[in-house]
Amino acid sequence: MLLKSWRIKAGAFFLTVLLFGFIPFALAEESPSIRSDPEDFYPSFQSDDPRSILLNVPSFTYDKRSDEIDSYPCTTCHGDEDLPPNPRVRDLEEMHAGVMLVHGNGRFWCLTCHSLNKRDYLVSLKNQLISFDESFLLCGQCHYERQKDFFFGAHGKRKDNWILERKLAVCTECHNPHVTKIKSRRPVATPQVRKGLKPMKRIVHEKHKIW
Amino acid sequence: MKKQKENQLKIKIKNRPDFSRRTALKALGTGVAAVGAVTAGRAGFGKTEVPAEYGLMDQFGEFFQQHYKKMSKEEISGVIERIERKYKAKYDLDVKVGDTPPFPGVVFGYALNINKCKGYRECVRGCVEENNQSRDPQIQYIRVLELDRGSLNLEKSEHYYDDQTDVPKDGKMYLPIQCHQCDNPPCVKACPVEATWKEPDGVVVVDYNWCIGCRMCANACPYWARRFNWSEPVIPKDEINPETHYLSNRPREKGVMEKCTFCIQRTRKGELPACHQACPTGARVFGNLLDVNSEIRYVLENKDIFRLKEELNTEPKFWYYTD
Repeated sequence: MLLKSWRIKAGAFFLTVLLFGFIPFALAEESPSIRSDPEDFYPSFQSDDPRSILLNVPSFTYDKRSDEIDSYPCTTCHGDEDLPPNPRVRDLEEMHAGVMLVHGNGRFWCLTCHSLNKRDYLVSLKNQLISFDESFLLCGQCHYERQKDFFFGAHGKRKDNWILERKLAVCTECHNPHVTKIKSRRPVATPQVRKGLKPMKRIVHEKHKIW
Repeated sequence: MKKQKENQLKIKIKNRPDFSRRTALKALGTGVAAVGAVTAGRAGFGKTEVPAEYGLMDQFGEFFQQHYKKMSKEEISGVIERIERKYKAKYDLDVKVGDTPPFPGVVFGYALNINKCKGYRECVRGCVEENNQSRDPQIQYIRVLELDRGSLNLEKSEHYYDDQTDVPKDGKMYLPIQCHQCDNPPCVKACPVEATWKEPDGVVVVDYNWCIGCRMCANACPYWARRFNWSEPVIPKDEINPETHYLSNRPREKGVMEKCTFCIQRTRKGELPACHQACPTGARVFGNLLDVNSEIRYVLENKDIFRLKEELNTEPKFWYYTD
């Protein structure tokens, strides 16, 4: 009898814990989100001045891309009277015969990104001029998620320092804008196994089943 | 039979000489210390070669050197001068040993984008060149592991993947592992002589002159981040990096433990770590965790992140993220 009552007591206690023990969990507030992307940043929004997007992002500097391009400025040739602007889609010859435009799988033509009349500039889809140095403004028209990551530091490469002003590598320093896929390459030499040891054999544990 | 054996044992114990191991060692120790001090430099852990220019007084100084944290600034500068003299004698090179203190209000954090890492091992090369790691036998702080895409089973990872085939391979992902600079570092707890500790900027460092080479920290580390100098490290003279730090990349001796320090010789001057600079893919993000506007904070707050072996409660300051 005594045992029975003890059991009942224990059972009742267990039930109360089960019933009321979860109340604190139910009342607990959901922890606030830690996301910190600014709300006033609309990556795909095309304003009249393409550079206005830079007002909402942390400041940064970059190396001048135009110094690196061999045949820049383009107007050295294209400024001449003998080379009138030709918007026709055609096979490229002479100087630009080596350019393979794989990017966009045939949907693009040179003039999608290069300005027809102001040869030293790139051009946005809204026909705004963009400098060759600021390719991130152009690429961001389609790759806006990447562009946002680039501005805030999650994509791309920072150079020189972590403490002072940011210096970033712009898109075209790593990506060839005409053939964007980065080729695979050989890795740096395989590390040695520690002296006196042999490389371990790959053991496939699934082969030796215990059960 | 059993009783006989027990009796024999008792007799043996009774017949033991009447001084403990401790007293014996003490007596021995005082005698040996003086002799050892002189020979220590000459034959510290086997046969370390020390050139003649590194005099007897220097060897005494090396043997009786205090723990880094217990030394005053003057003592440390004296020690650094002596160490520079040693490198001059050993490598015939002016190696500058720095002692840059940590920035106040800075805790370093690292994030790595595993979508972007392609397994080129450029970070390993950059690290070895910067940190004066031994070329033969090879010591490398960073391991790039090759895993099946979609899996994170480190036991099935391949560290020694072939350098004759192009990377990234189809169906593989790459996971570089280096010291995670834990906020709750198990290696520091394991060290019996406190030769390793966590600096105010969150970096776990080693005093190579205080380390006794017992390798307990390497046992304790769940990330395989610590490396031991089993033999005299060999670095070609023209590949030695002369810009060093006492607690980081100064050339090590045989018989001491070494590890990644987030390149404090660079990062405490505001530069980026060598692995970050060497990475051609931009997969690495480095910065100050306490700065709300830093890139690392943006990544931690807005990306899908994970830490390796989080369940061990080591609180690593190294995150992996995807985008």
